[in-house]
Amino acid sequence: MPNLPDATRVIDCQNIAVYYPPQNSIYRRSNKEDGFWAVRDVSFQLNKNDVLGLIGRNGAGKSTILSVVNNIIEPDKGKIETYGHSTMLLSINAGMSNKLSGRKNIYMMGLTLGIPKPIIDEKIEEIIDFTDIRTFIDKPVETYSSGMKTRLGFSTALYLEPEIFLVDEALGVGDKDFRKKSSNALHDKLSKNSTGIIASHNEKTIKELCNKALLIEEGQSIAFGTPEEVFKQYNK
Amino acid sequence: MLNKKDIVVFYTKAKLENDIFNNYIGFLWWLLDPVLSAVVYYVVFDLILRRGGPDYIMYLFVGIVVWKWFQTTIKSGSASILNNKNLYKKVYLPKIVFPWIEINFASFKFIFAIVFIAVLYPLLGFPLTLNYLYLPISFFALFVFMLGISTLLAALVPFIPDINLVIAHLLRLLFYPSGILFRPNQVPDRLQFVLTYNPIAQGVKAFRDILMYGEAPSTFGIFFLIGLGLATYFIGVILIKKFEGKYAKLA
Repeated sequence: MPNLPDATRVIDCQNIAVYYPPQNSIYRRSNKEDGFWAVRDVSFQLNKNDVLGLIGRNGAGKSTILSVVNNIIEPDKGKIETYGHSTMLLSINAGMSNKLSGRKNIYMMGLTLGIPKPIIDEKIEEIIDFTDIRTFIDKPVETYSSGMKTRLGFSTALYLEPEIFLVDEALGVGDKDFRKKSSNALHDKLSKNSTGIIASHNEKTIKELCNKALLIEEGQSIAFGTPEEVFKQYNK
Repeated sequence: MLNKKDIVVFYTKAKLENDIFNNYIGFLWWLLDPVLSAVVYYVVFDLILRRGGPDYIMYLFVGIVVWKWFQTTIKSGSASILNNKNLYKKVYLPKIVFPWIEINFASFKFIFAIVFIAVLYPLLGFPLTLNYLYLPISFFALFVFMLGISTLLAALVPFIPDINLVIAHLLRLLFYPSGILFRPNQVPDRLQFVLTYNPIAQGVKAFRDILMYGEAPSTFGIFFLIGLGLATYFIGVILIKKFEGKYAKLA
């Protein structure tokens, strides 16, 4: 019986479409066509422990799909269901408050995941250790370099363990050491018992980490299957 | 599940800590800022224009403290959703937390200053009466009013950022006919209604009645503020709910 939600279903994404309206101004007569359908028709289902690779050129709609799964954008058409699982986006500058210190941002990210403060208290030292930026952890994030922000965001998301990891090209940032460390750590988490979606152009990353892949072109699903099959089509 | 209250409390505390530690004299500014404003108006209206009247600086100070609370809340509250777009474009945050954070932040500073006044004024000879018990009620009324207005505006500003520019002028329009700088009896009878229906005039009057004249605040004023506040808050909450998944799409 296809499409029946079962206990292991984690994400059900049905024919979603996202429309970005034009900026209104009295100097610019805008009509419907000035807007932009970033996602036109995308569907996929993920079960527990599935890791999906989102493949597509720049502007294909990958990031928008991640935002929809992350509950940040409501799709204009179609339906998205995550069955109450917590999600977190790992990306460059992953939603941090610049005026607050690194430590406070870790708490903020934890609270937005619905994790109670005492549990964050338990994990925070481990997180700070992983960031390797302990000396800066009580300084405001606005003083961080972009590499440091990435370290902070990545380490936090990794240790707070959202039920669904959403990764937006985050693997290619940071210096070489941290890149290696983070990609190993992510590999560990994902291979253990997590569900995730990784948006990337990198064939190697996707083949290594994902068991499913979805090819997107101009906001539409083109192919869904194993990474090998889908890359065959992408590279045509 | 996501706990909005935890987020609001955590963020408000973090903002207050920033405010305390980012300046050299930290929270002393919460008093010094209204004091300096009061001194400026005192020089202009009393020393130069001779329109002050008895206890003018004390009269001014209460008004300014209430006004600063109102002004910061409305200004930062109405822009609060727009200003946090970099945050909610990456993590899911219920947008209703943003106006709450701003009003809590400003209210904390206000409480600090008003408690200072409530201790100082009796020492200067102003009456200390049982009507002090009306202070929390007046606080609550103004709080509800500001919460309502800033939530409603916060819901709309991301769609029409121009509102922000209008707010600055509307605030000024409310400031001058609010009786902060002058006494209500200096206003001709046919214009008294302006003071009656200016919510901030009602708020300022409530605190002065208690702290300077030992009187209870007007019941009309209290209910007027709470009524306006609840109505606007209700509409604001509905709008924010409706637009929750749309804000992140705006540029």
